[in-house]
Amino acid sequence: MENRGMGISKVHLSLLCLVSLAVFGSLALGRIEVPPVVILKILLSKMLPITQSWSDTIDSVIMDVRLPRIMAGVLVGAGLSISGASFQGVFRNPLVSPHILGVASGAGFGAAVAILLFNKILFTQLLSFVFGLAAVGATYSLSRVYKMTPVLMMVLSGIVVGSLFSALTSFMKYIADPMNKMPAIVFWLLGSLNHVTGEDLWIVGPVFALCIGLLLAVRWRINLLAMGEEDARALGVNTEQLKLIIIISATVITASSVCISGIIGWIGIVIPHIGRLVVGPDHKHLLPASMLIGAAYLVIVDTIARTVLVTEIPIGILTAIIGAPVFAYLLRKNKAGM
Amino acid sequence: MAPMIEIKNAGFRYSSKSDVIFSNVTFTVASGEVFFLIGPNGAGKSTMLKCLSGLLPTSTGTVQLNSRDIRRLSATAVAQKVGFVPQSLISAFPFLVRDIVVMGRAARLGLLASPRKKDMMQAEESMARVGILSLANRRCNQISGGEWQLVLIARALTQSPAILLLDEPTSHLDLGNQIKTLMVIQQLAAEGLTIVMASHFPDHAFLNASKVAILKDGGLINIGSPDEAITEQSLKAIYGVKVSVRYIGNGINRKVCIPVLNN
Repeated sequence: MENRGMGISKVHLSLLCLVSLAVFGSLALGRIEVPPVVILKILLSKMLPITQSWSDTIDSVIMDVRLPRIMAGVLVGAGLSISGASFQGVFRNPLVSPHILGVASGAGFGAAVAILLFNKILFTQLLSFVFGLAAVGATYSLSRVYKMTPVLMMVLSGIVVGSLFSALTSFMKYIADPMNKMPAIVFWLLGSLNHVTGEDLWIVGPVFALCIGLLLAVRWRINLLAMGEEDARALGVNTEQLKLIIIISATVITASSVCISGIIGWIGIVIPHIGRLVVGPDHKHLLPASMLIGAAYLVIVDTIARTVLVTEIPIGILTAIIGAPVFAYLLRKNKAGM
Repeated sequence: MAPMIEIKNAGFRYSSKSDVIFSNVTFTVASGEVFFLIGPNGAGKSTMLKCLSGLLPTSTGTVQLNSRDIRRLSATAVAQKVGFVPQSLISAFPFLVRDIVVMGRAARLGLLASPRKKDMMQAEESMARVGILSLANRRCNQISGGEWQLVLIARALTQSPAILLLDEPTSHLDLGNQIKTLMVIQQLAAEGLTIVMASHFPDHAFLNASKVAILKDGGLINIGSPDEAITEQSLKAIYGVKVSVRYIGNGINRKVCIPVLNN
């Protein structure tokens, strides 16, 4: 037992180092390459009295352009992965993604409406968040039978609500002006960390922190739900309460992610699988590990998205191109997808 | 002895439109008893065990746990007194056996807590009690049906309950594992646990039951000591086939049930 505990905390520590490395590397790379020493000086100069020996442009590239974007990558990557791992536990299914209850479709519709009507990024973010939550609310109430919300009913309701919002989004695209509105909708649906500002982070950062904190706090109990609801109740768990805490936290994280970065698929499915390969299926260890792997992964992929081609590649396309084969490999390697 | 579980005029149906599973059932389980629930397939034994554990609410009548209405108790409060061993369970994830057994501590830990060393030690103690300590670090999808049954019993013991409810614990097991499981149950009863179990084997009642209740066609048709309840007449009534009940001496010294083909 002692050894196992030590081993796990070492794994978490190495993953933390990986995240820091990815962040640091990403700060250095881009159209202007900045030497690591300079980056360190710039970061420290905000807290310590260090005289500026670098240009204002470099300062602005690091602090105003790259840092917010990378921090958003950390938040969204960590958030989608921990939500995915939690949803997979609650729904007892390793193939579930954080979008299972219709968040993505609802948020996509909200964003499409906002782009059509307002053309202001703030409204796009706001409406996608609101509609993302509304979709999950609809799924939850649709699946409620006899004062309970059976898992299968929730998954099926999620499919129904998701399809409805997808159809509505298609309709929005159909009536949108094909010269400028439609590309904006499509680009947003593909996901990108391009628009994130420091201000956004001050608003969504605390929301992420709170919800991730809640999931981490109840993470051992996800094991109990993963054995089945009746079994969890026999073990003394108030399953409706626990499910509500987990679903609300994971949904708010997902909706917040979608609202700052559009729909970035596959992370929430693939990363928890990699987490299981590293630390095993116990959610006590899986949630922190997934969170760290997801953060590092999204920062790395986003760095690729913005450096490889002259124009930026939408990150949702990259995560799918990388995610699908990796997932296929994991499926074949572990047979039952475990 | 004090009644641990008291079920009074109880009936159950899943909804007002569906069939009645059982009705008007009254009995008590006293502290320290090994109580067998016997009946044909579909008689409602599992449903009744779920009512006794508060997992399903009775449609009529009451279930009392230590003289308190089970519906007024929280899931946590019930789980601190009653350990429920389901017939079978499929884990969606390949947890380690020790991680499954330690789940029994859930009712003793706060919402935000996770098991500590002391809880893991308790889980190890339960595994030792049913003789599966050697399985602790195995994945739960790599053990046999008999081992899985013992894992579930160990998990229920980790709740430190006073009552153990078992739903056909020997149904899917080979003869050796059946007897091993019965011996574990007998030992737990000797240690003071009250046991209620549903069973498909009237024969097993002669091995270690102190009381037998027979459930058929939605009602209790017989209740009493194994000798009183399990007779050739009652077995014919339960299963619809001829079963001979004979006493065997010669060091075996108990009654056995022998099915007879030519009736």
